Amino acid sequence: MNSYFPEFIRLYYTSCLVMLGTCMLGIFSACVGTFVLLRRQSLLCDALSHAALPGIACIFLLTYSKNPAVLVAGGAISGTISILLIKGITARTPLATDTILGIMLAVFFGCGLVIMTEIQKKPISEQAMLNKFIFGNASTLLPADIALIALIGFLVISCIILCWKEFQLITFDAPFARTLGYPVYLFDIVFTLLLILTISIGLQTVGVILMSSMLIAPAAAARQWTQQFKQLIILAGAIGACASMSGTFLSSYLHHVPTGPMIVIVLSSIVFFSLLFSSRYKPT
Amino acid sequence: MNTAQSLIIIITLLTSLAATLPGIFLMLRGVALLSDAISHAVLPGMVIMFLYTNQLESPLLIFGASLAGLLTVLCTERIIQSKQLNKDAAIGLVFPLFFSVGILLISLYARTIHLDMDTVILGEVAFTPFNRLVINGIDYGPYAIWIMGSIALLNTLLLMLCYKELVLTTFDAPFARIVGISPTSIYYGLMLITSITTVSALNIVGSTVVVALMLAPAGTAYLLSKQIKPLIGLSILFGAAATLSGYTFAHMYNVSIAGSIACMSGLLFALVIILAPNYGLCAQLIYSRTTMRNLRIKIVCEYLVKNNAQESSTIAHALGWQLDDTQAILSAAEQQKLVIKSANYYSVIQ
Amino acid sequence: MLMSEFAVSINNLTVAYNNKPVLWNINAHIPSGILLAVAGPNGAGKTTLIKSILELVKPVAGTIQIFGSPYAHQRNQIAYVPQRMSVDWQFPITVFDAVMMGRYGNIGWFKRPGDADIIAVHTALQHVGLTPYAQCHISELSGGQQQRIFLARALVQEASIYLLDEPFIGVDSVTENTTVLLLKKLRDQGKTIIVVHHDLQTIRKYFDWVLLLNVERIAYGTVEQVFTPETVTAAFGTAMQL
Repeated sequence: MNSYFPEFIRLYYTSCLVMLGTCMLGIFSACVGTFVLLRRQSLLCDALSHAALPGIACIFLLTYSKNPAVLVAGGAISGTISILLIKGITARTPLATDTILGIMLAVFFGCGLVIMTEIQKKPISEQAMLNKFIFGNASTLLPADIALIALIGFLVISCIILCWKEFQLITFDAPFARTLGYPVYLFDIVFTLLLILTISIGLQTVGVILMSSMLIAPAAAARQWTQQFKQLIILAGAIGACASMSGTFLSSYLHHVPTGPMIVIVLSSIVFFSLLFSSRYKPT
Repeated sequence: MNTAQSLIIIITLLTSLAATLPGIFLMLRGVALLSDAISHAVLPGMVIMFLYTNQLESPLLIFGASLAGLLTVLCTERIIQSKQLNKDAAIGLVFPLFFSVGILLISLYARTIHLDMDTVILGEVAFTPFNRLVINGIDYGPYAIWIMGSIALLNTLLLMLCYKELVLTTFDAPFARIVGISPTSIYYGLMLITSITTVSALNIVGSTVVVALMLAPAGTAYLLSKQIKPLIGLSILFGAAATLSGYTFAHMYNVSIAGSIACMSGLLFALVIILAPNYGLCAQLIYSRTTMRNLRIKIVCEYLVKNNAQESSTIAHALGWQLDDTQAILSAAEQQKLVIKSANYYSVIQ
Repeated sequence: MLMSEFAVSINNLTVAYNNKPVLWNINAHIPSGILLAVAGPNGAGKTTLIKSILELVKPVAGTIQIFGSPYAHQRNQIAYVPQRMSVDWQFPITVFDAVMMGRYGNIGWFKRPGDADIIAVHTALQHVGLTPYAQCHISELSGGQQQRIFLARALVQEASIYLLDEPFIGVDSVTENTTVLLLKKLRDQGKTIIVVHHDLQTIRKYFDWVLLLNVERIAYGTVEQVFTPETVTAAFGTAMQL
């Protein structure tokens, strides 16, 4: 009995920690995701997620650090570079935004692949760790990761609560906000940075390809049930939390399945249930 | 160069050709990101057929994948029509579900067999020459050449046969309907071809790099010409250039071939953005500066016509310009013999 | 008259998009207490003029003063009513919250609306006739009612100058009449109302002054003096029946 007890505590502690981490992530990515959905930037998220990969791989190649803050910083840097390129190219060429997003997404991801194969040649066994950024693996979340999630989550939620009415106004009618004297440009930058941080920290749980779903699915589902802004964001946060936790639980229960797909399956089921059975928008 | 290397080059060039053709029309129709969505959404169709036939090479895989691709587009369209979500949200939600289901199926049922998640995302070009098509003991060459060759041929033939219909429905769908061409059929036909091309290319370059091959050459060509025929020609050229340079780079530095091809296509895109004669950044910078200066000269002349002789500080104040900018414009106007200066006063030459 | 006695002074204004002029050398001094229509064909630069006053677009040349001072110092004197199609009406807010947004300039950063703000919103809703709809979601309202939401949002700003961009497009006659009556009442209180207007037939009925634009200033002054078939033809390029 004595030899089993500490083991049980350790396992229990680890899964609780992982659950806590994914729960927090689910909440604040759903909050950010609500604004993303309302600003119609869902596909931009997809591009930003893919664009974070070369930054993470590159910084790992340079520092060999497993420190989550370092990796997230790397992801944030390449994410920022990609958004600057996207905005610049959209403004100066006749190409449509979604073409530019598609090119950026694929090219940055390709760069990430090249750097990853470079890493694989090194005499270290860390490529599995990088793989988790493509598919997501919440079970490998360490206390340091959880702490970083909590920190970024706190930052995001406090920004949103503090500037609640400003975010709402700017999302609804940006030119009108400018006439009232709000620095809309600054807000766009702050919001995009919060988004990039959320994506960078969320990648290890859900993976590059599915991150956009984790951001917008809770809000998309919640929108089918309520038209009140405050209720919308709270409901989205709740859905995000539940789906993340159940997805993580199912993933560890089924052993071989990465976390990302399981969370997305739970989220998508909620979304499609909401689309089919909510009473809003029903054709009369 | 040995045989394996030449085979890889041929296979990737065929992939590039096969991918670029539908990519051009996806871009022109404003549904470029459906290529990304479809490339991921075909996975469950492929996996289900794989579990049924137990063969990675079966043509049923392509069939299953194409169904999955079409189903994704149908679901997305249905959600958009119901107005419950907007277009980008619909796209961003449907394909992750399909993709996740695919990954789930692989993890549960296909883990120990060839179908591996890494291959699906990343492709495995280097192994393609060694995966041979053997019928009745005769080796017909790499399986990939047969597949990608057929798809490239199919796409080229369809493009030539349906050229008029494709172009018309892309640029003027209502008119196409009037003359009896169904834009919906062409649209879903394009989606079907995209699905077939994507799933065939999955084993070679992986899902995301297929998107690079579909969109980057077309986007690069669009900066140089908006006419359809040169657009197609240039896209194919840029696709080939990206493929060849990508392979060379990967070979020199021993890194991912697929990733290098994507990078090179991005590099070419960047080069053309900077250097293109009409829309390029260099051209814009030069053209913009000259045109803006000429416009300002016109503005000054018009002001002086209405207000006779004025000092530069008065002109600057009236037009809301900085004094040194104003003086520069006035000097340029003097040089062009439009304005004359006497004492400190500028006036227009009649 | 001194510059500061005009509500809006537009001097030598030239605005260009992609180096092509959309407004060329516009000069207009707009006094207080008038109802001014800005009219002209499509692409004449009418919306651009409004946006230039609000510094939403940057001019190539020219200056604009509001009561003799730059816009940045007089921001709270101007209320903007944009085109109805410029926002997403599916956005999840109520009519009341949408109108409250007009008070944010007064409330300031980080603070919540107070009692004075709530009263102002209810008063404005009463003036536009939307009181029964206060707690409805904006998507539930008709086009004309949505336009009135924008109008109420402008009213709560308690400004001296109102800029409206095509407020009568696609609205029902009830809304149109309510709006015109409201604008005339504001004018009688000494406010300056500047409206981008699309319907030449109603200019004489609704407005005191008119500015006819087609990239350049074609005519500017009181409706009796300058709104003639000659000036309208000059602006629109074809003979128009008035």
